[in-house]
Amino acid sequence: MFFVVLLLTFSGIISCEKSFLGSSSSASNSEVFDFLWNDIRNRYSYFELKQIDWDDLKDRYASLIDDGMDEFELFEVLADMLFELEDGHVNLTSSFNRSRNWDWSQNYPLNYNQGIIDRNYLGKDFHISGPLRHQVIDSILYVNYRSFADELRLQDLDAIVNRAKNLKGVIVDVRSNGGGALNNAFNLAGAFTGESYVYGKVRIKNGPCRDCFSSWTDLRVPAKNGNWFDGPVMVLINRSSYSSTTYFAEMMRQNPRATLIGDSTGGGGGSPVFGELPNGWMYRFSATQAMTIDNQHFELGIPVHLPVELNPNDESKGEDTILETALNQFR
Amino acid sequence: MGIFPDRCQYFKFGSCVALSILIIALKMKSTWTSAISRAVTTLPSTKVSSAGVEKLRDPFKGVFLHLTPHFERFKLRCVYVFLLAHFLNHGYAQTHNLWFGGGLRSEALRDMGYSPLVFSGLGLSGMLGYEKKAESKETIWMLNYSQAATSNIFERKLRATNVGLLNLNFYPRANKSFSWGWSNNNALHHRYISGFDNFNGRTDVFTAFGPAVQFKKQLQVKERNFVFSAVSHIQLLGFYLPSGYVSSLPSGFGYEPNGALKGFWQSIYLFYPGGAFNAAVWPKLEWQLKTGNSIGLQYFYEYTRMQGAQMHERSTGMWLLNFSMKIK
Repeated sequence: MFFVVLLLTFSGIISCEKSFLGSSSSASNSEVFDFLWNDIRNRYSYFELKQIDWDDLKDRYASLIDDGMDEFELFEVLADMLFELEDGHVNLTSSFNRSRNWDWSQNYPLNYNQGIIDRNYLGKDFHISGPLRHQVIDSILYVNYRSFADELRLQDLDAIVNRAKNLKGVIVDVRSNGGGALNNAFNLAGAFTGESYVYGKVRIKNGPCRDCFSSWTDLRVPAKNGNWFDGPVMVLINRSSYSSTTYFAEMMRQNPRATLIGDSTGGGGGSPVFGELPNGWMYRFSATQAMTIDNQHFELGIPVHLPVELNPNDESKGEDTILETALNQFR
Repeated sequence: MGIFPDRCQYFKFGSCVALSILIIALKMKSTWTSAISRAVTTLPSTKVSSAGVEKLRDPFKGVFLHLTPHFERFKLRCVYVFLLAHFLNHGYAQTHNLWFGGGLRSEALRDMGYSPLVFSGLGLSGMLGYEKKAESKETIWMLNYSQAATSNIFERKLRATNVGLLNLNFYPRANKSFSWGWSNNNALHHRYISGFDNFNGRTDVFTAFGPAVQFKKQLQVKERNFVFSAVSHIQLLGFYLPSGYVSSLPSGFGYEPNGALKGFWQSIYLFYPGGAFNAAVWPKLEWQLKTGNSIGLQYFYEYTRMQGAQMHERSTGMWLLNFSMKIK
C-alpha cells in the first residue's frame, strides 16, 4: 500500500514541469502587437538619432489591429510599423514573408556592376583564397569580398598579403557587401596594420528609458599575427555596403595608409538583437549604438575620402569608373 | 574525531546569515545611492547647497566613512568564520557515502530575453553525491550536470545546460522521521538559441541559502531493507548574476570597461523572495544491500525564477538511478 502511495505521489509530480510555467496558448493579434511594440520601445537604440516618436506610432498602428484579421493582414501592419524605424537591421520574419527596409541602398545609385568586374577585371585566371577573389591588375592587387558572412581564415589573409608583396598597392572592393560577422571585418582590417588601434566606440541598451545605455567602450582593430601589408590600400564602398562592411570601412578610414573611394556606406551601426513573438514570428532590431572617434554615428554611414559614381558611359564600355579611379591613384 | 564541538554548526549558519545581511546592506546602499543620485540629477532645479546635494546623493556617506574600517573587519570575520566552520569536522562517529547516478532530465523554461513562449524537452543528467552522517548531523553534497534539447510550440530550438552544486545539512533527532536543516544551492544555467545570430547565449548564476527539511523512513519488504527519503529546500537569501538587458554577458561585463570585481559588483542582483525564487523536492527510494551499499531511484524536481533585466524561469525534473557506496 505504501508503495502504491509512493508511486501515485511520484507520478503526480512527473510531467508537471511544463505546466508550472503556464501555457503557450495562441495569443490574440493585439497581444502580439503589444508585445512587439513594447520590446522595441524598451530596447531599440536609435529613437533619438532618428527622431522617431514611438508612442505616436503606437496610436496610429494599434488602431489598425483587429483580433479578427488574418495573419497576413497582421503581418502587414506590424511590418509597416517596423518600416518606420528606417533601419536595415529591423526585420519581422514569418513562414510566409520577411519584412525589411532597404531604403538605405535602394534609394541610391547602385555603383557596382558584378558582370563588369567578373568579365573585365577578375577575368578567368583570378585566384581564390577562401571567400576572397583576387587578381593582379597593372601591378596592383585587386581583392573582391562579397560577404562578411563568409569566414575569413588567417591563411586566406596570408595569401593576400604574400601576393601583394612588391606590388604598388591593394584595392579591397567591398561594394554591395551587405555585412555578416564582425570578426571577419576585424581580421581583414588587421591585415593592413602592424599595431592595434581604436577606430570607434560602442554602447548597448541597458534599460527601458531612452538614454539607458552602458558606458562607451572603445572598438579596436587587432593587429594581424605575422605578415601584414604596409603599402597603400584603396577601399571601394557604396550605399549597399552595410553593417559589418560599414564597420570595416571605418576601420580602414582610421588607417592612415587607406583611402575610401565610391559612395558612403549604407549604415547598419546597431548590432541587432533577436526575439520571438507570442505567435512564433521572429523579429530583430538594433540594440547598440556605434560611433566614430569624431562622434559620428555608424548608423548614418561612413563617408568616403574620394566620392566617385559609376558613369553610365563607362559602364556601357565595360569599365568600372570607381575601380578605374582607384587604379589611377596607383598608376 | 574532529576538533570542533557540534555547535560549530551555529557558527556556520550564523555566518551564512551575516554574509547575506552584508550583501543586502551593500546592495541596498548601492541601489539607494543610485536612485537618489538619479532623482537629484533629474530635478529641474535643486535649491539645496552643494553639501546638501552630496548628502542627498549618498545619505549613508558619513555613516559608511565612519564605519568603513569596522565594516571591512566584520566582512573579513564573516568570511573567515564561514570558511572555518565549513571545513572542520564534528566530533562524532560518522559514516561516509559516495553516490553517483544518471538519468533523464525533463526541462521547461521561459526566458523573456528570447521569447515569451515556453521551451520544453528532454535531456540527460548525471549526478555525483557525497553524504556524511553523524549522530546529530547529516550533510549532503550533490553535484549535477545536465543538458537538454528543448523547443517551443513553433519548433524553435533551444539548448539548455545546467551545472548545480547543492549542499544540505540536517540535524536529525532520535525516533523522528522529520529533520530540519539548512541548504545552500549554487547553479549555473546556460541557454543557447542557434536560430538567433546575435546575443544567442544567455546565462545566469546564483548562489543562495535557505531552510531545508527531510523526511526519512525505513521500510522492510520481504526481508529487504528500503529507505524512503524526501528532501525539500527553498532558497531565500543570496545573490545572482543574470545575462544583461540585451547582451549575453552580465551587464557589468562586455560593454562596460570594468575590471572583474567592479563588473561583478555591477552585475549582481540580490536573491530574495519576490526578486528570485528557487525550491526543490527530492524524493528517493533506496534498496539497502547487505554490503552497506545501496541502489536507488530518485526524482529531483526544481523550480527557479529570476527577475533580472529579463525574467527567466525554469521548471525541471530529473529521474535518476543511483548507486551509493559506503566509503568509510
